[in-house]
Amino acid sequence: MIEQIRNQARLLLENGDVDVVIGYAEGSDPTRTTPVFIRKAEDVDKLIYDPRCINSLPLYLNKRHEYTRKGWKKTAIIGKGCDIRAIVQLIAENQLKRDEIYILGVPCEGVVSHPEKWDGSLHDGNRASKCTDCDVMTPHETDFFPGDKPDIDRSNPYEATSKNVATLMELELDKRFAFWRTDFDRCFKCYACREVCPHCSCNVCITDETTPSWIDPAAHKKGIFSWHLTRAMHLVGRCTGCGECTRACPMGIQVDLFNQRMKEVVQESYSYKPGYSLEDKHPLITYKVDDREDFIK
Amino acid sequence: MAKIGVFVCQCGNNIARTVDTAEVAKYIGEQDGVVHVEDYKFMCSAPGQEMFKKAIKEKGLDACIVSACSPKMHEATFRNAAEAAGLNPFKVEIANIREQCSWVHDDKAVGTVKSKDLTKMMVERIKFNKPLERYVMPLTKRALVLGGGIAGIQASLDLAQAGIEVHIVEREPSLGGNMARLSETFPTLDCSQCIMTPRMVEVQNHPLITVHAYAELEQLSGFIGNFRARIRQKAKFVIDDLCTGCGECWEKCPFSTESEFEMGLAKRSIIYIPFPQAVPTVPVIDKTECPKILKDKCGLCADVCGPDCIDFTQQDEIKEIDFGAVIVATGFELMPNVYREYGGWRPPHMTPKKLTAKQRKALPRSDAGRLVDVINGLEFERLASASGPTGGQIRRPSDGKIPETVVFIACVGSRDCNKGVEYCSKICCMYTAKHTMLYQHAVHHGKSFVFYMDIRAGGKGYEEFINRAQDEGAQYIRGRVSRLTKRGDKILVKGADTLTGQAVDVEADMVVLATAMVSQGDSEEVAQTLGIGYDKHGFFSEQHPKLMPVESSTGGIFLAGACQGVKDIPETVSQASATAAKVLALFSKDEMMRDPEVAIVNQEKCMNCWDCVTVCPYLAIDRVELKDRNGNFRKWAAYVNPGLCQGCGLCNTACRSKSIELMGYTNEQVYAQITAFGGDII
Repeated sequence: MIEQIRNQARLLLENGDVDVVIGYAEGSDPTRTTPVFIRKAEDVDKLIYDPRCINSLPLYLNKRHEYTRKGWKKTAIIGKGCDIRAIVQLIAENQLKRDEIYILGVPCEGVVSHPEKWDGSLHDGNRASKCTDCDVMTPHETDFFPGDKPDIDRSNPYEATSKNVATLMELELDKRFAFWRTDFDRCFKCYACREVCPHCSCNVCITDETTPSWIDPAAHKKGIFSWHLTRAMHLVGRCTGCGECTRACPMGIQVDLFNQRMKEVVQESYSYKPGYSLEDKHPLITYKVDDREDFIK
Repeated sequence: MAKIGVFVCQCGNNIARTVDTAEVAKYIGEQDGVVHVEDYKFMCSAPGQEMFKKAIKEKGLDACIVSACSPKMHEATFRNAAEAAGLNPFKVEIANIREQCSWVHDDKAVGTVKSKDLTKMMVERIKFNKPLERYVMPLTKRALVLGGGIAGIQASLDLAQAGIEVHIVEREPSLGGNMARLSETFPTLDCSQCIMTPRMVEVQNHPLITVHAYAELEQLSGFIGNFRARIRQKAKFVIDDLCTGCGECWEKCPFSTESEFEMGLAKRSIIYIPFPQAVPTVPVIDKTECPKILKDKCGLCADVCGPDCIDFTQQDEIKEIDFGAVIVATGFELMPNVYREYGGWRPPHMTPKKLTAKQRKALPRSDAGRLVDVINGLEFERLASASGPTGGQIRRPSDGKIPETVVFIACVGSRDCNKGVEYCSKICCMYTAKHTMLYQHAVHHGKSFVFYMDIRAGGKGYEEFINRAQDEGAQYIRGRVSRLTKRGDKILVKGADTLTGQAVDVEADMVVLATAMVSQGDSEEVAQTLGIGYDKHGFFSEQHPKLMPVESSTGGIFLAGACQGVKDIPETVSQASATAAKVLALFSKDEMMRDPEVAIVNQEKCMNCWDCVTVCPYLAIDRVELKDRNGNFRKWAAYVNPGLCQGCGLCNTACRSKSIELMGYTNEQVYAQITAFGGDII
């Protein structure tokens, strides 16, 4: 499979169809992989793909990122299904044009939750939670895909509820609040969750605003809560669930629980899942005559 | 340092009952920046306003807060007073301590504390208020009238006679609406067409009125004084300018279908005018039926047409026209005659499949589907009309016999929470009385019975009219009808007379149902296209039920006639004239002042996700290219057109990067206001 991807990447670079191929290469130790930017055809053999390839590469397509300012006209990117959802969402939000990118889709059987858990194979013990109910193992929007694309039934717009969210939602309201109070105690506002998110695309983040300073910059409870709740709200209907925020958190806070819960609310309320349509606008900014109105009391 | 004046109003006892205004004034006087405080009985009174102006002048106040009722009530009053005293009106804010405080609390201590908080929040907020200047906007002195019924015609004529250019958009091929269907009108029994058609001709001949017949409004953008309408002129397949209305085509057309105008009681040709007096007298081809258009067969009309004006290739045409005001006169529908159409009674806008078991059980048990001689009011009008399908002779639809006994049933569907609409349809008592008279005049030996709940005849000459109907032979029975069944070629009406407490059976040749007036089936979509409010029955909502009965919830859009609620002709006409007067008042100035409380974009921060463009209900946000000093493209950004912006704030909340500020409600103002109140929550 990877040979076909490499050949296609080589072809693209040799013909000058793309300026760069973004993919994965072997990392600093055997459990890790690293994102690579391949600019020469002879380097394409560095490209690999296996369950260790965790990073969400669409991050590098976000206009906020310096790589997008290098003047590259067209970028090829290796995408597993969930990453392609992020790319599609970026296009829907006008942060990227479809003809600026060339998507090399890969069939994916899931990735590990964390590089340290890699023991040579992927199994239930180390599979990332987002992979358990994945419906884009065969990607939905590609320019090149090795092998045939099987028809997958996508008639059900719902993704399964994450187990972690379900457990948390079973708690009483004050217990849930207590959970976050203790969890957020560890947050020191490094903003890794923001930096790694493919959808955080503002030039000036609301947390860096000073007139007025809506989000208190200090890492006390008020500042931490207002940051995480704002982040969750800004991603409602947009988060494609790559889970990078939780993986990037140096303190091990499960910040994507908020996003997963909001994802469920959006699905229940509007039957909408982001990252599947190049045109659809997310439900919080659109109005349909048959939208649910039962929350207006 | 700010010099803020705070004026606490007692509103007689309205506020003072649950708020200690003196204490609020004392507390606010101690706040930073507050240099003047008043506690007065009625701030909105003339002496109150004088006190307000005097304080501004004498103390040199640079911002004022009035702690009183809702800004909806008196914000304009105090802003105008401030302007008169030389202070920028946008440096005046209202702290609402009546609707949001004194009226909702019983405990004076609570009310006082909350009033203190509300006023203190406003003190902190007003320190960030900037003096804003109003925009001057141009005004298009041209009016759009939607609907060419009697309401639209009346409003258009009134406006045109005052020198205003008017465009009427009518979706049917002719003006006239429902009134053109009526035979005679209550309470004077004058012929409807005789009083209607001269008006229609007057409209057609008036140099300032343009009629867009067979056209629909697709989109309305813009705002009061500066609307832009997209009008879809549906293809008539007949060239307007060439057609002489000679009638050769519709007489020769070999095909026919049910006539909508005649309520399906007669046939019309495929190329047709709805009725002989139609205005404009230009026929249209029904493209859903015409064999030439469907399968390229026939084309006889084109062969016989002298001026050669039939064009089978015609397409819909889109016209974009600017208007300053819109009058909505889209009229009503009669609740469908379910006996003929659906074989059973059913609530409006509800398909039989959707009925619950309970509703299904509640349906009157009848063999209704077969009862073709059960007709509704408008169908009866056509039977009684001299230009109708029977030439004015009242003959029943099934076999064309002249009915000897006719039963009229009032309140069918109206005043009926379970099976119909809960409101009184208002005109049915009167038109039923009229129908009995029309029937008695046509069939002298005939018997007519009216089953009614109550007679509601409030209007000039109305009660007398009912009495006259009874004198002329109509027998009124107070009670409801439970069942209609077929007996031979007659209909057995089983009802009750609640005054004598007896069951009444009548064998009728024909039954006329006074079905309720309901809103047009697509009125909700029309309201959404126009951006105006509507109620649960689909009638358009007026701004204020008593004081602003012809204004819609959107500025510059006015409501005339039955689209706003059930009405008879005199009421419709007077409301139409009222809308014309409102439009004339709007057009009396050459330009309009616009509030400066609009959104502005920080274009450097804008990340052009266009969420604001998506949410803006007024299409006020454009995508613009920013250039560097050499004229090279730099980036895209949003731009809010202050003329179109209504200051609703939707873009402001949708913008994640906080690149949009709403003037008068800036982030700094709101933040100051919130932090003045909030402590640490966690």
